[in-house]
Amino acid sequence: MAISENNLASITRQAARPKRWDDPLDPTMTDATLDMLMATEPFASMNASAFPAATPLREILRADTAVREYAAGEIVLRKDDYGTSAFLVLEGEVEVILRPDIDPQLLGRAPSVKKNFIARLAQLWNNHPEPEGWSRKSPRASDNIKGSIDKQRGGVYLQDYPQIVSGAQTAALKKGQMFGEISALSRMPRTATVVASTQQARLLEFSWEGLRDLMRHDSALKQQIDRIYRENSLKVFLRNHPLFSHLDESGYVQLCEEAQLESFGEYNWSGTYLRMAKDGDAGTSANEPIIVREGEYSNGIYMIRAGFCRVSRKYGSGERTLNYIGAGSVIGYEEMADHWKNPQHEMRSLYSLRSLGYSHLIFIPTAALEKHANRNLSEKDFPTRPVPEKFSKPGATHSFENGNVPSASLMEFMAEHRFFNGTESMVIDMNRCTRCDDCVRACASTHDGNPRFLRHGPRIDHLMIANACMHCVDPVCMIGCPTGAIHRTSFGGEVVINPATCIGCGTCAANCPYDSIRMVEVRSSKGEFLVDEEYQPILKATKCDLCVEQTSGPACQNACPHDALSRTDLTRATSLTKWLKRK
Amino acid sequence: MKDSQQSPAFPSKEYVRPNLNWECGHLSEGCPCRIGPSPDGKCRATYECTPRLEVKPGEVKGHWTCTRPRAGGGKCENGPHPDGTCCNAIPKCQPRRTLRSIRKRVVAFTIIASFLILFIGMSRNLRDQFINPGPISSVHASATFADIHTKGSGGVGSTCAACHDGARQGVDAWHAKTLDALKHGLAPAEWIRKGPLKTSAMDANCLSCHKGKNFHQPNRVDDFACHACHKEHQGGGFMPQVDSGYCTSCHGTAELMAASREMGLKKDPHAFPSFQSGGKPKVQPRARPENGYTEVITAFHADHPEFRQIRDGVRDENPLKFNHEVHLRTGKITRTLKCDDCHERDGRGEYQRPITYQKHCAECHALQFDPDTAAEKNQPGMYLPHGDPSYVRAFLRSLNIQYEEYGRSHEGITRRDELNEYVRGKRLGIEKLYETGENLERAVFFADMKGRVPGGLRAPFAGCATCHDVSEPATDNATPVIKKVSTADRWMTLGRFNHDSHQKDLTCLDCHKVMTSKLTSDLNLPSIKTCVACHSPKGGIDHRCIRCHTYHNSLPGTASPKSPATPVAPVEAKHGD
Amino acid sequence: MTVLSIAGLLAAYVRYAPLYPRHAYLSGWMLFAVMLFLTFFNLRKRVPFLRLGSAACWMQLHLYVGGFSGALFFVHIGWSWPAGVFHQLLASCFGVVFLTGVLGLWISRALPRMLTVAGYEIPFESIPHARSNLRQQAEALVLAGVDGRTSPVIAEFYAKMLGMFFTKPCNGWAHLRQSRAPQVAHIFQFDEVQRYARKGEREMLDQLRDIVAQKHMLDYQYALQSALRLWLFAHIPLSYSLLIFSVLHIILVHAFSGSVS
Repeated sequence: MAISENNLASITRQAARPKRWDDPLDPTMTDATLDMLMATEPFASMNASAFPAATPLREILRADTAVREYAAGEIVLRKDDYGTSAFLVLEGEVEVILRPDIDPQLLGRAPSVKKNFIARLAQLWNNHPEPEGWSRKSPRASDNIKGSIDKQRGGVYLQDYPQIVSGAQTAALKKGQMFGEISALSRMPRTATVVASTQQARLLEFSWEGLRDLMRHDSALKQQIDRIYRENSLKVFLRNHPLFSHLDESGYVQLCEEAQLESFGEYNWSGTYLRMAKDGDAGTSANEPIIVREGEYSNGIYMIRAGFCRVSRKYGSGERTLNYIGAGSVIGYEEMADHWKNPQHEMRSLYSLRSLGYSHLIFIPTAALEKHANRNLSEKDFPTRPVPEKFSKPGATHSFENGNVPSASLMEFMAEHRFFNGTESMVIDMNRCTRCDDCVRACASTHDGNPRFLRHGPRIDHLMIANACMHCVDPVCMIGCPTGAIHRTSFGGEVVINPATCIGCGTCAANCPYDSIRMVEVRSSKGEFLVDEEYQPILKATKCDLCVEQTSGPACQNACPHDALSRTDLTRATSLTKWLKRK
Repeated sequence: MKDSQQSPAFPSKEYVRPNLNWECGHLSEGCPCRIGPSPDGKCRATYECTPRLEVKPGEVKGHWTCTRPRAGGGKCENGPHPDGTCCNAIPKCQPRRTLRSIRKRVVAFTIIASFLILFIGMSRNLRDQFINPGPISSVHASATFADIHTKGSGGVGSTCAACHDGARQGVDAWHAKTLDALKHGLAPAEWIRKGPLKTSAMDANCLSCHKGKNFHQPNRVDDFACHACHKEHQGGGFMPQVDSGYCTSCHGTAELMAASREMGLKKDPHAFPSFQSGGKPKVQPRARPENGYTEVITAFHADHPEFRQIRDGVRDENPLKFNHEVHLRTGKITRTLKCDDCHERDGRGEYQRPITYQKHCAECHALQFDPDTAAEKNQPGMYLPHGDPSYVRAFLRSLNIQYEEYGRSHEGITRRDELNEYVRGKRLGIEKLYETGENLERAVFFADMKGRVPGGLRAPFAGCATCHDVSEPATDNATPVIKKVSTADRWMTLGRFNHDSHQKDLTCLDCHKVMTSKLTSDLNLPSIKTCVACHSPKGGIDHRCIRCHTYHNSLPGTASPKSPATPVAPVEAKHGD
Repeated sequence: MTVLSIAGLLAAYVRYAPLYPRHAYLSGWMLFAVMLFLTFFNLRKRVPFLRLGSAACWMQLHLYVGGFSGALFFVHIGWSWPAGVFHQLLASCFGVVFLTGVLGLWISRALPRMLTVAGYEIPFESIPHARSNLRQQAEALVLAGVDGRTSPVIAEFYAKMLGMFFTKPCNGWAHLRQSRAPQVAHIFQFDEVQRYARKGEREMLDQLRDIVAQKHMLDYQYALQSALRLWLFAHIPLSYSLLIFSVLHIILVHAFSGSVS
């Protein structure tokens, strides 16, 4: 293609645009293996023509799956790790260890690879002078062999496996069974440890985007996974709850049958939310799916498994948000406990409950509770109240820092902007912030000269929640990533983007409800824009990675001279107020 | 997203980069180009896109399309020119430094300017003025001094070199001197050492003009530096007076005083200055205390020992008999005397002039033994000479001649026979009174105030023994012995005092309790408590050591504060160093 | 605690200094060490990736040690301002650095609150964007006029009163003084021109008022945020000068000391 002289060419350089399958999960996947897979269930019964031409079944298998061999005792996945892979047993057997939890030290947890001292010190002079300078050979992962993900494939072995497993409650998974898909799809930590129990166990590992695509185009797989999801999720969750931990196996099975799994809202709730926000409706609860209505007859308890819900009461002609609650909270228990003490009191819901975004709840009807629940629960084992006691009294004053309870206006603000999702939200106290930008500079110096957040965002009173990735409990940004470049690190669960495999499609940036992800045009070390054959700039998604490569924690927080900036866990309302009360 | 407070609109899809040194010059208009300046501040703006020639199947020439990315605004309306030029040229800007970058430059500039200032300040001409930490005392700053120094050093270095070796050696030697200082004289241990500064090499420079550093007392434990007490660079005029702290830095330190005491006990007593007079103010001799003057003193009002005269109960050993009470109390003598009738202030207002018979006693105590020979208006009377007893005896033994002279000059008798008659009459009168001339003589010498003579005689006058200590001569015919009177001029010789400056609010009697003093041996000097009443923080008057004491003087208490502490000897020209 | 340590230092000085003739060297070296430590704060900010303690902790230390250094300085110079060209220069340098530090402390505590209360928050580097935005809005408003026509009165009003106003930050000192005089002046001018405006133009003027008010808020942000940056232009460069001069001072007082010749 010809180019002319009077143009931008002097400041551009051509490069190969990264594409989705540039970096396959298993680069060594052969056609023979593929043939084998295509002949195995469930793929054998899949309708290949249901798959679109852009992503045919065979190509999905080629690029998004990998065949892995495990020796006996080798750990496949660990409980509480974050992982984006699902597994299918091809040959051999694996054990899922249900109870008790294995000592984490035995599991060989390894934190992310951090830069050593010299590498960190070298940031003083090695950072690119050009913004978004790309020092690797090409923006394509496959052109940079060194830049591939998954450097570590060293397996971790469970020492003395038979001994450890002998006392434990386990479930065996055999050929054709899947596991790990729940965590991969729901972006939650692994619920149990899985260890290969026979020699030469062969597993098929799916990247989650591959699994997602397969599910999208094969309804049988989708239903199977949904079913497994419900069964396993429910079982594990109820087993560990103080209300039911005293039950024996049969009582437990009964309980599981009587309990119901419900989900509210859309899986990808950010799209709806962003639309609501644009129309100025994000603050009202009118469009939120209602779960429990205040004053109605309470017929059971809801236990929140995942996602967030808004707890509110009628106030004037609107609803006043009292709290937002997430995983582990229970609503309806207070009413029940009161009724057990005073049977003449009617069980009416104290609050309204609405789903914010996408939430999973487990509903247990009153009848089942009366049969199975532990009525003699001590105060400290009492399920977390949806609303702290001090707050729930009518007429309680709601000043900004009244004890440990945030004010109503703060609650409304959090709920309206969906900030409760953040585990590492950047909260800036604007009364202390001197606008010096030391935080931004510190962020830049730890990221090759590029800041990864914008010191601006919604404000309430003197607090600002800046546009820095909050490392959400429910990271909707991860939905739709074609390559899985955006993922959770396995140890700390931070949401990070692997720049080598990012193809710059912009889905994550569009999805993020908080404007935390920004697409940048990558440049060479000389400052030339890297463009593809059509002279369109090659983009990469960037965002705060909580300085996983550094040893000193988030550089922004460390660098603020006035203690004005904090990365706070907003999933719990009290963490913020604790920080606000500091000297 | 709705915000609880209004925020201005700005492009928030891009990062704000406060870490960069340069910003696009168009930023002030609100439309910086997306290329941005290079890291060294050059504008790289060219065009907004690189047009691409699209040749669709079947086409020959093809069609230029705009490739402007979405972030830059997407495809432009007009599209590229037919020759493939982009239609949107970005006007070049003058990139501007960010505030941060400007600050870095200001820092660099300030550092350079500082070095420049130092460089200029340290240049040969300006150096002395530049580094001088404070004006020097007027003598050392004078042209005379500069002359002396130049002659002495052969013109090497500035006047600073008169005292400071560093000035003589020049800038390049300073760092060596600094390191040397840090190792020895100014090592960290020295910073927290108590006590006055020990002698140093700089003293040699002071002593090249000033003599007499070493005078204080021979039992001084350490040799102290001149600058331990004498601070230069404190301003023009005289060098500041020595602060009491310097004195008490030694006298207030028990260890140093103890060491000094020990040393004094071991030394030969003749090494110490004595207090004999010899043509200088008369002092009653007194031995040096065994322990010297090594009491620990921290402040005058606190623990300065009682004046030795008071503490040791020293008595005046003057043989002259004198009763202050009689002389001062009204009614006891014919004329009421005041203190200054006898005690006249010296010219400097410090002490009293010596008391002499002629000036202060003769008016009342005239040595007249013959009532008929009193002095009149124009004529002197006949009085015995005062002073040497031999003269008195000679006078008495030549009374005939004396009377003859008196008759001639006073009575106007000129004829020989009348004169003889006159003299004979006088002699008979005396013989009637005294029988013999020896008796007269004896009466003159031994009669007391009331005329009583030992041995039963009575005289109508007060004889020598009224005031003097008269004793029988060794041999029969010799002159009676009168003990030599020695009225001490000064008692407290270690310090100096100025009576005039105490005259304003005090009378003599406030300090000298003479109204009750009957004996000559009474010293009538005030205790230190009298002085402390005013010379203390409570009293408010200066109580520094130097108010009364000096360090260098060759004899205690002789120099006035206005004379140089140590005389300046003329300096011979020194050649070389 | 700083107050206690400063009081302790002063008491120790008054009581013990006369006994120790070379105490000025001790206080001098201490002062130098303290100044170096204070300077290290800036260096620590340049290496946020090394684990040297949080900047907030360093800031607290900087403030307390800085306060202490003021007292130490007075102890060192012996309560009397030095004479001599170089020493006055050195002492002045210290004085300026110390005083700008105190000023900066006050600025850093007082101004953020004012900024937060005023609202209209924006990162400093983005202020030109917002300003240009407002200017374009205002100009578009005026150029569009009513029914496509702008009366000469309005045009003249804009050109004279607001033309330059929208192109750059204005009234910096007034905003620092918290004075509302410039805003009120504009209000009066608007009131005046409103008399001569047509009905349709009145609405346009009201909108223009709004934009002018926003520009004032933006200028306020600019003024205070600039102040929060500019005070360091005195504090930091002079602190380097201070260190350079101190080194010469150390050499001089040692090489010329009475303890050596």
